[in-house]
Amino acid sequence: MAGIALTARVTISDRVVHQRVDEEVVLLNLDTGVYHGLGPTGARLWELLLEDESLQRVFERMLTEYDVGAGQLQDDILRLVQELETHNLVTVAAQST
Amino acid sequence: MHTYSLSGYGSMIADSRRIHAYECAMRQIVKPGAVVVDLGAGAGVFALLACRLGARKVFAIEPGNIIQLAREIARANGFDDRIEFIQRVSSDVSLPERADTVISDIHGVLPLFQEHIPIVVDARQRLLAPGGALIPQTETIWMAVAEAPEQYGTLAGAWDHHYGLDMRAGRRFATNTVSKTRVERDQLLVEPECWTTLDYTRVDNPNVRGSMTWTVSRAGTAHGLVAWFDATLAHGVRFSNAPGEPEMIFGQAFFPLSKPVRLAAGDVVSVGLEAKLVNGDYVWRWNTRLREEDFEQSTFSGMLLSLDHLKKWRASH
Repeated sequence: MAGIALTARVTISDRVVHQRVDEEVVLLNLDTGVYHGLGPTGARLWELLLEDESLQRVFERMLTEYDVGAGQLQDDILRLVQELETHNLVTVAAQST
Repeated sequence: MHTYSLSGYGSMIADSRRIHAYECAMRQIVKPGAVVVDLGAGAGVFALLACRLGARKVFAIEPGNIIQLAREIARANGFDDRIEFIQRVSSDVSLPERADTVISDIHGVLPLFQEHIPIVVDARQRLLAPGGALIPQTETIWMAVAEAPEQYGTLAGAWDHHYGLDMRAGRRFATNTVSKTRVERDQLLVEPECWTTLDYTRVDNPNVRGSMTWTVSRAGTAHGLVAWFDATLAHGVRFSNAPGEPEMIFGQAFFPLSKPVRLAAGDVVSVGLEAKLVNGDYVWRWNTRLREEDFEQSTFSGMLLSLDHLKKWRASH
């Protein structure tokens, strides 16, 4: 999780198209032609990032929706955002505006 | 690998405008004694025509079983001694000599169709002799905004309330689907814009992105975007699938809007159109801005996916 904090601003790449299937989301990176799948929790994160680039606000929203401790949720979110960034599905700016 | 149905091959043969255009180009380019590759030969019509024009040798490459029928037709026409039929994907084929001419017609509604571009690029690099000719030489894709209530109704109309049932969930898939259509010239609300020209002598990238902006020339309801291609087969030998031109097998491609939008003359419409080859098929994306509306659409969003698909694609998240 080094390098990403909840203060980050996370922008979904305009090179990604997505489709929701039930509670999951499948993503296609148009630059790489690679498909990615997100399970229900990842799909919810994606959906919230579409609405709001502030990771802090997304975290707060998810904290109200899931029966999970704040520390665990923060770790999970930061890990997933890191992975999304690694695959160029999102860009991460250090400071949320 | 894509192959057409027998009726599909029959329809291509029956398109005399298409065949005559190719024959005219071949008459200009294929000289007696020439070596020709017929790429995606199908029933072998171009291979036969090349023989009739005096080709010494034709390599007819076709992965589908239609090649067996092509062999029989070649025998019936007395050209089986000059045509070598190869049932393989062309990228797996090595030839004993390079060809003076490579002929292909691997199209869907548009030239950006499955592996067409990689196949042509590979053939140009490995199968065509230096200084050899490709047929076609270039193809240009055009696009315009169209008033097309019938086409839109056919596509999206089923996904509404019917029989007391709410079927609207299907609408988002239907409106993210590109389909073959045919519109008339007077259905266009703008002057057509060129999206891209594929120059087969130099193209190497199957993916295309580009934007277009139109000023609406007459008021009407925009139902979608219509795209078609014009082909230059040889010097001075062309055909067009534009609205208003005589009908050919290719037709036009209809990219529906998320919803119909009423436009006034002078309104500006802009579109970012992208075609990306993914695993042998094109994903199309068209982002349209008109009036106060912004539509982001793609054939990816029109794919009917299942959770089984997702299980295959899902990473560890």
